[in-house]
Amino acid sequence: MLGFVRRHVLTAYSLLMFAYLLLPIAVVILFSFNNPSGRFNYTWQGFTLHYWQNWNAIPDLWNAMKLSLEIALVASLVATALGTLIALALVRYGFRGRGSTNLLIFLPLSTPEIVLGASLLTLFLNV
Amino acid sequence: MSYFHRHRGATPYLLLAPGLLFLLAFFVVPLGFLAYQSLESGNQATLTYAFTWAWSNYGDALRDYRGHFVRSFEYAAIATALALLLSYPLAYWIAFRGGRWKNLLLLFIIAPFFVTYLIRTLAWETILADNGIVVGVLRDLHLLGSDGRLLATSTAVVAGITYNFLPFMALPLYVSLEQIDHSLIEAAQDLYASKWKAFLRVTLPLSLPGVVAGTLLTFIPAAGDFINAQLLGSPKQHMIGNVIQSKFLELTDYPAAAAMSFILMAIILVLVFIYARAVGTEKLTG
Repeated sequence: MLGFVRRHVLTAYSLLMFAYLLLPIAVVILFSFNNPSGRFNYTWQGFTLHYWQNWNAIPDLWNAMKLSLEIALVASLVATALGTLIALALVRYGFRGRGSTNLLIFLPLSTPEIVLGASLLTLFLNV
Repeated sequence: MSYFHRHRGATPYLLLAPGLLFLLAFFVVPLGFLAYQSLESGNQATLTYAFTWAWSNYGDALRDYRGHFVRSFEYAAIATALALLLSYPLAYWIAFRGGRWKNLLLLFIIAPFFVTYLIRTLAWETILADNGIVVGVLRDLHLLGSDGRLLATSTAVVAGITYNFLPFMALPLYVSLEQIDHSLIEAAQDLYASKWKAFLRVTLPLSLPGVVAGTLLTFIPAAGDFINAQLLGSPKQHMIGNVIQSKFLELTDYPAAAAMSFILMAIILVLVFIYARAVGTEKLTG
């Protein structure tokens, strides 16, 4: 009986968590049908299909989308290829410098994005 | 390492070369430039900076923005703890009770990633808005005063960080929980451990690698975050990431921003090493 109750408490909790995880997405979808009077889209003011019918009203939206997908594709391919090779070396071989390689790979992980971005900015400004 | 072993092949080095060269060009070299820049001084209006060994950039950053540094690590620590507490039961449920739905449920966990970081946080801005439903309910329950707000409070910023980095916590937790051999837990129960005791003595310790990976993957980006403080907070909640961001992009005070970046990175590394020593390094690399 206790196990039955506990199992369902955990299930109920997990379903609530999924609702929490999906809530902002639901809000984004819902507010894409909103008809805001001003510049801000924070309060519900009425239903409209306007933004879906004119989805390409923003100039260059399509180009930006294509560019995003291109960058994502190239970055994923390069990261997967380079990462797989490194992982193979680390798992299959014992070699001198294994520890420092591990550290070098961990360092970018422990670098906040803002620092990574900043350092790349200085690189591109200087080169 | 013996002579023989070292020369057994160039294979590992050939495998490493492309990735390490990439890291050298796009991580080590940029950090070198950043380090150089952090010791420059000059005029930020005309963007004329010269290298002068200006160590004072570091002292000034620590003196002027100590509060921001402290706040960043406070927010990151609270958000990491919350993310761990929130996602452990969820990861446990998927790993042990997910059955054939596991993959679909994992998809739900990474669902936040289907909406861009910025848009997700803007959605929370809508949800937590002053005339939104959450503030309304809290006011009706007298948990908030009649003019109480959620936006522009540290609660909103920490909640935003917790939400945005939750998948980074939940996924490693799930992986380590999923790998646990169920017969070990059954064995504990056969030996008269209660369900709760079997969890504490078997499941929890075996899931520690996931806890370590999850806390690091959450804490590190959280400490450097600026989006949540920017959108859900006010200048009173600004973190060190906000300062670095505005120094770099708005005030063009590159040396100060570079020095702050290094201080932030150094503190994170020190904390990570202390943490790694406390839990045992073998858990870091698995």
